[in-house]
Amino acid sequence: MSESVLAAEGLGKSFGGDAVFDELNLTVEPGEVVVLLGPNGTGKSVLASCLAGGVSPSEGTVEVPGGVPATTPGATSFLLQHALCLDRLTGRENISFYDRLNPSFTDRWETLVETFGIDDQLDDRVDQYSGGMRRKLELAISLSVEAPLYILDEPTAALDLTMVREVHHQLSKLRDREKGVLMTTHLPMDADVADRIVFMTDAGIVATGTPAEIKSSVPPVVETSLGNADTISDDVIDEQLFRGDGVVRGLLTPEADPSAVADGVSDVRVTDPTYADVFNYYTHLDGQAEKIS
Amino acid sequence: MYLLVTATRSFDPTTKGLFAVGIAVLGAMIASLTVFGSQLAVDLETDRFIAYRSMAVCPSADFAGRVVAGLVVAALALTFGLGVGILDGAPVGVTDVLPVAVSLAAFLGLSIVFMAVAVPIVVAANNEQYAQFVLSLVAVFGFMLTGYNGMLSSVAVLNESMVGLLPNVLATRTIAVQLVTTETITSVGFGAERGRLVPLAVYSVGAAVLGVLLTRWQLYDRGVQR
Repeated sequence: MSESVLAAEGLGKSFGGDAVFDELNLTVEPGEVVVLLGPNGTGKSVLASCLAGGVSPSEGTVEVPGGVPATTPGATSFLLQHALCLDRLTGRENISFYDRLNPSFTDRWETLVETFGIDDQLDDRVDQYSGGMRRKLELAISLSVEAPLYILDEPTAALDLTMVREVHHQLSKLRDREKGVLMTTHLPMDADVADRIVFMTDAGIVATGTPAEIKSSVPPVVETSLGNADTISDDVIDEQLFRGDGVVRGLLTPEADPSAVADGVSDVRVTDPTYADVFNYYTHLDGQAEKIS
Repeated sequence: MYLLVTATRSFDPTTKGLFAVGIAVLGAMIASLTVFGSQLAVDLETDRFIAYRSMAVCPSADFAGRVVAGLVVAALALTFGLGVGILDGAPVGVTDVLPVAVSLAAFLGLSIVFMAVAVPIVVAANNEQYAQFVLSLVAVFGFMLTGYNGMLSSVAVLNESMVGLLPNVLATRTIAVQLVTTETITSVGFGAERGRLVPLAVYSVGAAVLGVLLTRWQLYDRGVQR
């Protein structure tokens, strides 16, 4: 095995003969934040569970430093959405539970619960927590574990924008400490924290690369106001437009000339793609999502 | 349940003591099965074993931890049941350390057997409510079919030769002989029997091994790459 903190080869998972994904290859290096981006229902959580050793892959191998995840204590810290916290315990009791269960647990939770703003609710039962508070507690528990690899399943789901930024900051701190991070998400804004983005759809992994590489793989975007949508629909792929803040956006077809599309037409602009455009390109446009791994 | 039985009929002191022990052990059986099984079912239902597997938790440590937690609650249930009997005038008590130690050993053996039994039931139910319902039925049927855990063999559905071999009966009779303080306790049908702890120990060791194996096979392995 190389210096990777995670190496998955030919990974596949089926339930009752129905394949969730197959033939996936994925690595995470030390000091790298990999964001696994994709729409709901594409098997990201199942993939994360396989990579963390929680679920058996139907085919392929997963290696972490020291062996395979399920028999290598301390190799990973895994946040599986909705599965970590025990509802009948308080937040503090949950932390204490994982402190005693996991020898790699540290006292970083004391700082993290303050940072996430749940320190005043630690003595409340978790079944009284909101979805966001529960997620913050799960994050505090997961990030308190000292491990070379952090696998976080939708860590920013149910969090407000400020807290999403705080989570990104925490992941950057892990990167600075040479930890590997793999996070799944369906929120394009999580790409902000990525060193490498992996796009996953029903077809499998359809794109991977640095943020710059991913953005450059997508055609330019044309944007106009809602009432002006008809003027650009012929120039965008599949004639499909996506709503933004009071505007509609579409990804230009290869035949469309970016300089000509907006030329002489008021209220039409050609811009660089955002992560939301990249997300739309790979997940909502037919024919763009071809499996690469 | 004990108060309901003793309030509707009058019994001689020995029978009253036997009832107190039999029903207190039923409480311990229900606690062993449902407390152990309930949390196991919740963990299973919420996919928490996926997280446990990723932490490379040892299945034997998992089973042992759950057993210890279940034992604490089951011990409270047993103590409470006996306490109610004593307050109601049942001749139950201790005069020496040995009866307490023997009763404790019988209680441990019983609880471990019932907690191991809970594992496959919870896995098959895969739902906390169903699991609790079935586990409670196991305890109540075990109690009723054996004539109040062997305290009143005359009302047992199963025949005596079989009843005397069942773990709940072995444990309850052991505890009853040790804790019922009337002199006539030795004259009841099972009063003179000896060596009940030996088969109970075999049951509990076998159950502990089976419990660990079931925990590994049904909750941890499930084809996980090892």
